[in-house]
Amino acid sequence: MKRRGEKLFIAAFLAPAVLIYAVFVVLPLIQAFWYSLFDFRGTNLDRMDFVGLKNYERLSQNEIFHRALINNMMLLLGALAVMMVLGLLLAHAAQSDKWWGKALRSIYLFPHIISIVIVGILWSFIFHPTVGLVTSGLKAMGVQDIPIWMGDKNTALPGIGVAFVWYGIGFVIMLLSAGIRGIPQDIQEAAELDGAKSLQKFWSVTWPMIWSVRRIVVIHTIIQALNTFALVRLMSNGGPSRASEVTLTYLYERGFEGNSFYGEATAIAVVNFVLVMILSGIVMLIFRKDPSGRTA
Amino acid sequence: MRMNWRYAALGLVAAAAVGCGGGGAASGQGGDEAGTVEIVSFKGGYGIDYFEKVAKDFTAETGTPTAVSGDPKVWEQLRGAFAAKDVPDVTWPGWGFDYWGNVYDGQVMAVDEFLDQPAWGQTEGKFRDMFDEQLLRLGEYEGKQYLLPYHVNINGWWYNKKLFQENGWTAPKTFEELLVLNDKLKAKGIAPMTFQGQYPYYMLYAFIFPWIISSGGLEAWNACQNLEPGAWKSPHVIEAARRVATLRDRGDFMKEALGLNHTDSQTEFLKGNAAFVPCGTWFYAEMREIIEKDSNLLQAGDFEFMLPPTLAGGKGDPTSVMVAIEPWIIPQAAKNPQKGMDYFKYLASPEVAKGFVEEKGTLMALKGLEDANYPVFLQEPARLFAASKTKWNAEYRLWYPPVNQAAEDAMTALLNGSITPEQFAEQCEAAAEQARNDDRLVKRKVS
Repeated sequence: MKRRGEKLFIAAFLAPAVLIYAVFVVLPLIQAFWYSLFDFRGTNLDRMDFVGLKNYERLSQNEIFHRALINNMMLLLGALAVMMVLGLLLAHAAQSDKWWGKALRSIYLFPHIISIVIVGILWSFIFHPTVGLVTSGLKAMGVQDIPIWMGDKNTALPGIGVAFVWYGIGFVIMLLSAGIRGIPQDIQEAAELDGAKSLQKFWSVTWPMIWSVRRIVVIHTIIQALNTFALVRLMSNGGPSRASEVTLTYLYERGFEGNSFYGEATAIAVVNFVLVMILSGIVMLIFRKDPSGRTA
Repeated sequence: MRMNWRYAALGLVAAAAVGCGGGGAASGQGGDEAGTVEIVSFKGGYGIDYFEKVAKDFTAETGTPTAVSGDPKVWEQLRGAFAAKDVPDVTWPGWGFDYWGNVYDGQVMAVDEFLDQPAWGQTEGKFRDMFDEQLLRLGEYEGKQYLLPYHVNINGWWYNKKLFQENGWTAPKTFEELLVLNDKLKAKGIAPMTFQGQYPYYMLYAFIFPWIISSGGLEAWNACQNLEPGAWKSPHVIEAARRVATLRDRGDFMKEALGLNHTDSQTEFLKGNAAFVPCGTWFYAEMREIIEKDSNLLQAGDFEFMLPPTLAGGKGDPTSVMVAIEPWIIPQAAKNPQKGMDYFKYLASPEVAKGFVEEKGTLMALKGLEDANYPVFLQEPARLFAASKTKWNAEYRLWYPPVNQAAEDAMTALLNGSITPEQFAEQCEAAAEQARNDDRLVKRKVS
């Protein structure tokens, strides 16, 4: 058992961090939940009507919010699948000492260091319906019936997904590269001595050994996809007719764009937060044990 | 600056949730008890230089110190400032400000007492008599005046006058004339009309609402604004939506328009790729930089304003004009409300207001400016504005934003062919029904 002085010493070092975390993270979260129980406009905090869980009831009946949640999930699942497959391929390619491996290593993180606002503007230009790179390229190839991308209900969300993957994949490659490099060389060599081919080596050695990295990639993508705001706001503003609406753009609309349903907007933030926590919890549960028996 | 701790925490949550900064930007805007008049303005296409110049003249004339500041998103800063009751003395908070929410929450001062004072430089009479009565009424709530209209925008269509003159065409006055002209345009390979597809309210203002009025008269539109049961699915709304569907099905809209934002679509018009674009009288101010940079685009005088073509046999007044006011307000917590109002009175005095018209190119909600020198692109709007017997507004947009958002969604769906005119009307009516039952929305009537 530690002596009292030692405990105080540890507590003194922990206190500033705990205090900052409590004031800037825990307290606002509790307050967010508290405010979600009121009807108010955010313009005069002396005029707040306590309505209990009514804002959550409203959200449960709100078709646009449901649509936004579905869009969030589609963005998450689509982006996760693409980023995991493409990320693994590129992370493997980045291990090479050939020129293309070196080139890839020097550029793959580039999109991720650009501001997300710039990314949104950039991809808006790329998908511009008259002068955009995609449209111009397709026209040059003689394609006739070109979609209008962000103005088309079938292409708006996939288009945002492309920008999302372009922005996020660098970070995923970095994580997976670190995971692959962290696999002990002797295990790789043992697999080769046992006659494992490339694909067998991948499934039997690489895939299980990057278990913890995969978990981080999935959780990171959940957080990013459910907190998507700027890309949608800049590229499609949730349109056309809600085809690309996500929860946070809808939160912005309900709270800030003339509606001033501040309590309901806060309830959306709470639901989004809880959803991230639940999905992250499920992922933690799935990745609870790694193949070597370690516990997460 | 006095900071309300609850607002600070709330701002933090919202900013964190949304992922964009916002709180605290109102710092330093608070009125000065020592007597400096704090003026905060939206900094859009008209800038704030004119308000700064006027403030200097006001100070020179009265000895009252002034401080002018502005921002393109000033309403976001003012939201925090109002909640913290650390407000300017007078403000034009811009189109993104929740005017009525702030009025309902007691954050905006009723200005009747000031309006009953003489105007600037006068010793008798009432300041309120300087305003166009119809436009002043737009700022009333429960018999009290809260919003002070200053400059106004009227909505309509802009057309390529140069092209029309070259071909001996005239601007269509009726829907039938429009269809004939559109065929001629298409035969020349020119798209008849482009629009701001990313912002569907432009098309509501340009097509649907004017055609509801043209078909059923102002009362049909006011019934919609008043959320009367069934009003949004009346035959007049369906008729207006049918006209849009007709244009859509005939291929009269530029195909890419649904994906264009306001400046892109307006640039397509200025390039001559489309003959019409819906927009208000802020069009030139918004496009000025692009126009002045590129002599290949249509220049001032090459394009002209017109009212939307009317529907034959309809009940509406063909001179009807959609007007949107750009109001100033005095915050309830202003420290120098009288001085804030004095600045506004000075701004609204005939010579100063005329200067605004001539320098910025806009119409005004004030009387006595008939001899102002309107720029060439504003002469036709000014004529139509003066000749109009019916000035109407989309007040419901600020009263019931969810209805407006549903109408915008339906507008996009109608334009891309996902829904029929009847479905358009049903979707709007469903949103109106929801709004009728939403006790958070204060119910209003067009006065």
